[in-house]
Amino acid sequence: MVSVDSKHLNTLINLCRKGYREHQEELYLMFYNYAMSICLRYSKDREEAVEIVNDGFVKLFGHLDRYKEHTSFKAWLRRILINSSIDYYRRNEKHYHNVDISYAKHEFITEDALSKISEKEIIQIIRELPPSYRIVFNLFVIEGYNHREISDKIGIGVGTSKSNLAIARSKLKRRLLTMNQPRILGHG
Amino acid sequence: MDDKDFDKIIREKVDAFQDSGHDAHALTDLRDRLSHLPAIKNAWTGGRTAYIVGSLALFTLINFGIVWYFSEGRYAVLTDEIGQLKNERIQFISLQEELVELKASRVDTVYVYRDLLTIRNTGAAGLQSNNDAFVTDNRYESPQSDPFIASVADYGLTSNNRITRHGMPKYLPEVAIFEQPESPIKPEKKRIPNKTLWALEKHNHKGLDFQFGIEGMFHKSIYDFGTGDINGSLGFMTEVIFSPVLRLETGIHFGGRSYRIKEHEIKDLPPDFFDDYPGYDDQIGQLIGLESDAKLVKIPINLKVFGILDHNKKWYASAGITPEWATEQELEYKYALNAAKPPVGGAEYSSFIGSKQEISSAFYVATLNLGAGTEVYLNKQLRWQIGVFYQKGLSKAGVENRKLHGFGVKSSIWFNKP
Repeated sequence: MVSVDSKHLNTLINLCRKGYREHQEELYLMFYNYAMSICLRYSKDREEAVEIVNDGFVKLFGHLDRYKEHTSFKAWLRRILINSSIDYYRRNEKHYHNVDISYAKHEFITEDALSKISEKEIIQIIRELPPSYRIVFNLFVIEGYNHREISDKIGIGVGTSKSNLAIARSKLKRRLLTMNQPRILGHG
Repeated sequence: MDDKDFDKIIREKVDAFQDSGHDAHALTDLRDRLSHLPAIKNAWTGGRTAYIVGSLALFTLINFGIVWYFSEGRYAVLTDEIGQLKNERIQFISLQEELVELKASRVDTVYVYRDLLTIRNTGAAGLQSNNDAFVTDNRYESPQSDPFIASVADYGLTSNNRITRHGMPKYLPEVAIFEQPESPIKPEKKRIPNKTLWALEKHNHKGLDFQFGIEGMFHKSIYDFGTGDINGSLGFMTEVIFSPVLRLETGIHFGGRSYRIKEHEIKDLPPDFFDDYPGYDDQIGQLIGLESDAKLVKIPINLKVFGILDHNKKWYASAGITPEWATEQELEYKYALNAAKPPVGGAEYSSFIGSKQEISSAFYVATLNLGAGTEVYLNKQLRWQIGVFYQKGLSKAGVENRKLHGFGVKSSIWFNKP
C-alpha cells in the first residue's frame, strides 16, 4: 500500500537522519536497483556504476536534513545520483583517452525497428559510447538539460556539447543497426 | 525518424529500464565508506536534547536562584519586622485589656458629702432639675456623660433612702448608692476601605517577591480553514511580583493543539492549499479529511496588572507572548478511492485510505496573549487565580505554516512563601 510505504519510508529517513547505520543500509538496499538503473547509463561497466551509486548514497546520508518530507524521495535521490555521475565524470575526465575522432553521419532507423530493441540493450549501447558523448547524450536526451546547462555542468563549450550530442546519436543509430541486423529491416 | 522521435523512444526505453542485478561487494563498499564518516546526526540529536534539557534546567535554576537570593535577604528584614509587629501586638493586647479593665472598674459608688438636697419642685421635671443641681454639686462633669445619672428622673427613694423606680420622696438622703448596670464594652469591627487596603499594600511592598503556581487551561483554536478542538494544557508557573500592581508571569506549559478539516471544508479551499502539508499526496485519492495533532511545550511570558476588588480579591489584566516548541506533530490524511464513481445506493465512496505523517520538532513564536481574571487570597500562602484569555497568532505555526487564534479559560493555584 502506498500509505504504508510512505509512512515506513519517512520513518526510515528519520532514522537515517539520526545516523543509524542499519537503517541507512536498509534504505540503500531498498533503492539500490533504482539507483543502479540510473547510474548504469552513465558508466562503462557495473563496477563504475556501483561506485557512482555509493558516491551518491554517501552524499545523501550526509545531507538528509535538506530533504523536505513533502517532496518525492525518488526524485531527490535521482538528482543526487545524476550530480554524482557528473562529478565522477569530471573527476576522471583526465583519465579518459579521447582518441575517438568521429563525425556525425546521418543514419536512418525506423521507429518499428527501434521498438524491437529491449531496454537493457538500449542501456548497453549507451554505456558503450565514449564518456564525453555518453554524458552529453544522457543529460540532454534523458534528463532534459539544455546545452548551456550541460556546458556549465561538465565544463565544455556549448558547441562541443551540441557536437557531442550529434555524434552520440549517430553512433547509437549505427550501433543499433549493426547490432540487430537480422532483426531490423534497415532502410537507406 | 527524426532526432526528436529518436530521443523520445530512447528516453521511454531508458526510463522503463529496471535493473535487477545484485552486486555483493556494493554494500561492503558502502559500509567501508560510511565507517570513515562520523555519526554526525547522532551527536547532533543528542546535542539538541542536551541543549533543551540544559535550557530548561538553567531556566529553573535561574528562577530558584533569584527566589533564594531575594528571599534570604528579605527574610532578615521580614523577621525583624515580624518580631516588632509581634511585640507591638502583645503591647496592644495588654493595653486593650487594661482599658477594658479600667472601664469595667469605673466607680459605681458615689459618696455625697452634702447634708440634704431640697427638692424644690415636684414631678419629673422638678426631679430632673434637682438631679442636675445634685450632679453639678457633686463634681460630675456632665450628667449626660453617665447614662445612669441621666435617667435618674425615673427613680424614686425607698424608706431606707435608696433610690428606686416609682418612689418620689421629698428629700434626698445623705448617702445614695447607685448600682451601675453592667455595660459590656464590645469593640466594633470596622471594615477597612479597599482604597486604604490598597494604599497599605503598596506602602508595605518592598523589593521583588515571587510565587509559584500550577496552572491548567482549556483552549479552543479558531482556524479559517477547519475546526479547532478544545485542548488542555498543564503548566508550572512563576510570578515575579514587582509591586502590588505589576507582575511578570512565566513558566512552562505542556499541552497539545489539534484541528480537523472536514470534507465540506476541503471543498471550499483553494487547490494549492495542501501544498504546504508534508506527506500530502493527491495521487493516492481525493482528500476528504485531515487531522492535525501537535504536542506542544509552551513558554508563556505575560505582564499582569492588578487592582483591588475586595479585602481578599483582586482583578488582573495581562498581555504577553507565548513561544511554542512543537515536540511532535502528526498529520493524518483520509483519502477516498473511486470518488468519481460512487456505488449505486451505497456510500458516497467505496473505500478509504488513511495516511499518517509524523513531523519532527520545530520552534515557533506563536501567539500574542491578552487576558483578564481575578485572584482570591485563600490564606496567607495560597492564592487562586481564574481568568479568560485570547490568543492571536504572531507567526505561522506548525509544519504546515498556518496562523491561528483562539480563546480559553485558565485557573491556577499559587504558593507564596510563608
